[in-house]
Amino acid sequence: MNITKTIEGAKLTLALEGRLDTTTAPQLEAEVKEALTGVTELALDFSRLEYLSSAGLRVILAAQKIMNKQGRMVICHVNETILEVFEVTGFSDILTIE
Amino acid sequence: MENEREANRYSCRCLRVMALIAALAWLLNLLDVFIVPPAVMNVGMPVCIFSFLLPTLLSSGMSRLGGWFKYILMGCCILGITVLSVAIPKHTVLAWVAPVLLSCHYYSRKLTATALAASVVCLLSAGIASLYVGEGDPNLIEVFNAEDAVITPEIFREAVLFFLLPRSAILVGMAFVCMTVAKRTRSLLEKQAADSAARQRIETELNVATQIQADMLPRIFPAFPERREFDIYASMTPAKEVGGDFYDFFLVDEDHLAMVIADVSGKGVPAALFMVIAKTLLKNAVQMGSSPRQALEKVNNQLCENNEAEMFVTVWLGVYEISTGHLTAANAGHEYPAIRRAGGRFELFKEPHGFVLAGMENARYREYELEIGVGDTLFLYTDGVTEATDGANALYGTDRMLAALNRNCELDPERLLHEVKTDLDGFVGAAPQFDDITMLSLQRKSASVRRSLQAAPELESIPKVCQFLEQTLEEQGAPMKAIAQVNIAADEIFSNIARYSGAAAAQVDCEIMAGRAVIRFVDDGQPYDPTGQPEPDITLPVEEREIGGLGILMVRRTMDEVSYEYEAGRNVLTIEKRW
Repeated sequence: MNITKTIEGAKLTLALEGRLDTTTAPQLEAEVKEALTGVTELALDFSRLEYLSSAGLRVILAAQKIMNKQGRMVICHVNETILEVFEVTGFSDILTIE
Repeated sequence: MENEREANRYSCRCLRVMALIAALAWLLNLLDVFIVPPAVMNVGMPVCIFSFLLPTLLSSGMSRLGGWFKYILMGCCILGITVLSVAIPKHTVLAWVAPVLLSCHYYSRKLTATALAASVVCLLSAGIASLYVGEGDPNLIEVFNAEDAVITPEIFREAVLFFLLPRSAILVGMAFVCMTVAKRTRSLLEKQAADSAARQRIETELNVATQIQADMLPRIFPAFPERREFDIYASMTPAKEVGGDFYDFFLVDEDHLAMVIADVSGKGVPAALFMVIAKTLLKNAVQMGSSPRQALEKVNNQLCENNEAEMFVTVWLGVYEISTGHLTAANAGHEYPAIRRAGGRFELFKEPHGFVLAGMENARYREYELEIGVGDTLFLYTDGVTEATDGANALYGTDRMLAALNRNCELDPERLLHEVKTDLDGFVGAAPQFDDITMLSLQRKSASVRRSLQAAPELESIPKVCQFLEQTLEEQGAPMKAIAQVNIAADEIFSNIARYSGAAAAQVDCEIMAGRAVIRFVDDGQPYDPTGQPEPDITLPVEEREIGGLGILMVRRTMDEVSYEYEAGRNVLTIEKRW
């Protein structure tokens, strides 16, 4: 999985490419831990993400909990398979999906 | 009891008519058309009309009065006529027969006898009374020259002896005539009731026969759920209660499926009986190992024996080799089958035809062979399909049938047959169905693919497992979404095995059949049933959310089947995805 990072002031955009699963989730987890200090708006761009598993959900949940304290988090360009995962797991209720 | 109620209703109606006639007579007398002393009429007529109407007024309480109502009714009738008879005796002679006539409808000797006796007594009394009051009987008056209207004992004696007694005798005679006629009506009614019971019994038996016949045809679908290599479906809609069409299919051995579609000449019970014989003989012959040609020749000769009724049957018989798609078939005067090659259109297959079965002894049949490829569909039918007619007597025909098949050619056999039937029903509309409608369809599907992967139970194996599944699914034409969902599921399941099972070895089996994949995850770790865990609460606010259990929840929700077994020291988790 590739992660492309874009910073505009206090807004951080992470564009994910590939698969967010058990093997790749630690990569995103490290990125999030490291880069979230001082960020008030986090955008996750899923336009090139194929799918995610519960390991990915774990990282997203953790990020959402952090961002709830210091700003907001949005997820954009979600494909159908991933949207179904969000719906099945009830994540669509707690995430801001654009 | 039913008859008595009915008779009561009709008798009431008759009495109302009599009341109307009496009222009319009264009216005409008031208008001076008749010349009866008004005093007599003004007293007699109201009493008479009231008597005739009384049963109608009482009829609402008929059920409470029970069997007595008919006696009350007769009483009212006789009373009314007696009053009439006193007032206008010469006109009412004929009316005396009314009570007896009405009583005959009850088919009760006792009632008729009572009515007759009461009538005779009243006739006599009224006749005597009429000598003194009322209009008087001109016959009596003229004969006895009683112009001064003094009734001498002599006149009285003569009147009774020569007029009233003979009239009573005639009335008794008429009663016997009425009773004779009623007896005949009654015997007709009884015969009708017996006939109706017999007809009902026959109808019940026919319904049972229909059921037996329907039960003879294989009707449970999917017929061979464990066979993924083909799909078969058939249906029969009989025109009358029992029909002459039939279809049949059965496994001759593990690799051979026999299919039959047939149409017996004629309809109803004879056709059904013949159908049973033909079906049984054909199945026996094929199961004894006869090829389609041999089976037709053998059964033809068996059916020809003692075929006095000159019945015959058209048959298409095929034996299909499941592993290769090789079809051997023979046709005894039946419709051409329609076949669709994968990706193509349905067309009639003009095969060599033999003569109908049971038509001619020692008839020869030709056998032909046909390769059914993966994705090909065979469609068999009887003339009930092509010769169905609409309201204007136009035939449905082969062209409409092929068009309907081609509009739905991507469907599986069950839905295909359903669509053709719907199209046929739409064409026929409200016109009656003359012939049985029977269809059978076989589709060859891709044989299943089975692959296995040994993978070390560690997180690093996950990409390998996913790649293995992805490749297998892609090759077999699974849609992208299903592949992604299977990948997610594999990630969840295998990461669980790697993290928690403590297994030393793990294996993933993937079996793909038409439209579905069955994947088994096998490991030799500690017994653990992920399907037995409670579902996480996915409605909690974000701060309280836990991640545990979400993985298996996703698997459950995105896969069509998830099941767990612990067997021979191994955890076996099976998931199935359909598309």
